[in-house]
Amino acid sequence: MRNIVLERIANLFLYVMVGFALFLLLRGHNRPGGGFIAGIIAAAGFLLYGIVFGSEKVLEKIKINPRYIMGSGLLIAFLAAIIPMLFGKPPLTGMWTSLAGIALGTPLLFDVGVFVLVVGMIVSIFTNIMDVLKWNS
Amino acid sequence: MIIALPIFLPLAFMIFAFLFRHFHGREYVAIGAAALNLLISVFLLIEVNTDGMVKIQMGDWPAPFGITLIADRFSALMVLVSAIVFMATMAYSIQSVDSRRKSFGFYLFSFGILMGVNGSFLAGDIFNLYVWFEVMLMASFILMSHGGERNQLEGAIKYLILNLISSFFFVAGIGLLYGKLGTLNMADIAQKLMSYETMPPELNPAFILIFVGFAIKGALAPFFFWLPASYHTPPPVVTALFAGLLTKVGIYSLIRFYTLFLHQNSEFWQPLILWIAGLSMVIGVITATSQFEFRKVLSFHIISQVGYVVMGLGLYTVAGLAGAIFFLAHNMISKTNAFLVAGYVHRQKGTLNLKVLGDFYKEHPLWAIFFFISAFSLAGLPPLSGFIGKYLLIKAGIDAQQLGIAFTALFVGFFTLFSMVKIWMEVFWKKTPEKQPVPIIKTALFDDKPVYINWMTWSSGAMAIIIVLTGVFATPVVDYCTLAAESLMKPSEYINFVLNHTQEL
Repeated sequence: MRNIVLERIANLFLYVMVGFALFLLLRGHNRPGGGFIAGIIAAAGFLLYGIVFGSEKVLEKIKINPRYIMGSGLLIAFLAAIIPMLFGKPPLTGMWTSLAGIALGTPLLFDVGVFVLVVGMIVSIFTNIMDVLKWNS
Repeated sequence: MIIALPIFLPLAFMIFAFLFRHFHGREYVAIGAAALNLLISVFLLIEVNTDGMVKIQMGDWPAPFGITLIADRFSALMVLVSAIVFMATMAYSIQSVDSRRKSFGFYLFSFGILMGVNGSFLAGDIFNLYVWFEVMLMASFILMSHGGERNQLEGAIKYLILNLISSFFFVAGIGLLYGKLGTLNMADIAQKLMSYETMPPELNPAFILIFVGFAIKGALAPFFFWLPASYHTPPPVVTALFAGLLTKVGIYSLIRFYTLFLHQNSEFWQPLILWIAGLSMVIGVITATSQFEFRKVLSFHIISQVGYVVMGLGLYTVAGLAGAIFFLAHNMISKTNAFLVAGYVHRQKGTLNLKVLGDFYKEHPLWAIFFFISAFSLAGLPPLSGFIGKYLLIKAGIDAQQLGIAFTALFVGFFTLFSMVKIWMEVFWKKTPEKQPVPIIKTALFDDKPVYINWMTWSSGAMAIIIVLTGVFATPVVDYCTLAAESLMKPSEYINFVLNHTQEL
């Protein structure tokens, strides 16, 4: 049975939670927040969406196979770890540059990698569990 | 800089395997990465051997605060030997693992294990060590249950639960230690402990917990139950990889902890460790004699051989530690090769029950020779590498006036020989029995695609050659192990190197 109110709320909450997650991700360098917690919150948004609409709709919404999301998250974090090695510094050293007055650095890149990895991982786990349980189908 | 590569290379391969999951040449990429890892570890060994120690501070944070990666002679040797073992198992797996397992990430998780193992050997920070243990545990649990055959899952459950308990003990011990000392850097902890005249008793619970964690990981008596219950269930090449790498990491960490921290309370720890060594040796070897499954016999022998290494540690002399390091390296290679031969027997005959098998020498003489070399190296026959290891350990035991443990080691050697002769007689020598006492269940554990290179034979043969060569030309290896043991006996060197040096790259 469809529940219109719940569907609208789940759809809205997905955007709210992903937006809040991106806010936490960018805020995390000096204050509470960061890649991991932002990833968890974004994935919770997808989870709510999945509970209401089913796992196929989640995969349609994000369009990319979660496995590739996990892989690219690992890749981004890995790049953040090895970029300092190219400059002759130990791995994972924070290196900063500024673009139009905004400081950008490898710690942010690392956090983004963690964010992407956590989202991909949790989405992959719960869509698999939903498929096994035949949720909403 | 090279010291970080044994961790980043497997990670890079894992990312590749994630992103290109349908790539068909992944076996060959895996072999290439394993070969590159071998090359890196050779360079690391050369660098460590000239400088004594190499370190790097992650993120450029100075020593007691940031995570240290450090390689001394002992850990560089372990990284090299595990790279050899990994190379051989990866080459072997091309033919011996079925394509379904390969496409579901066999190589991905194998490199996860390699990353965890290399990380544990290089970690200079106990919490970092714990994290590498977890990386290794997760990857190994997936490989253990990978493929989902019934008995495999049964073994995997036992393996997972007991290893999780061990991790729990370990992390609880770390927590207590951090609460008492306020640091996680191993060199810093050792320095703080040295400043006490006697070991403060409130630290003992932490050390006991950590010791039990390592003892479960390293399958020492009386904590070895998970090992023989699970090692005979996954595909043979997975067992070979585990036997070569996993328990040895627990033992490596135990040696590292003993030489840095526990030796300051040696009147308590030394007799305990010697007793555990003796019990592991005796229990492992005696229970092995009652088994009639190829891989189970070898699994119980892992326990007894781990006992030898811990015996060398318990003696706590340069000769004893050198023997322990040599024996650990020898054991990783010989044991892996014995399991590789078991894998080939399984591929040809479909079973590993000793009562059913027979005639293998007549049918596959080359593999019989490989088994002969690795098994009798484990039993300690000259001129193979096991003889040198046992000789060093027993001589060190007699020199250190520990006659009881030295004679136990000798006596256990005879029983090991007995077990190995039993496998030899049953599998390779006797005629195949006319009437099969148990039905043979064929499991899809290998790939039947034709290959141009006989990878199984080459990898096992290379390991056999390494065993013979380390036995015959043992002097440089033993000299290297003695140097490694000398630097282990002087923890102040390690502490000064980690803490007092200015940042160097």
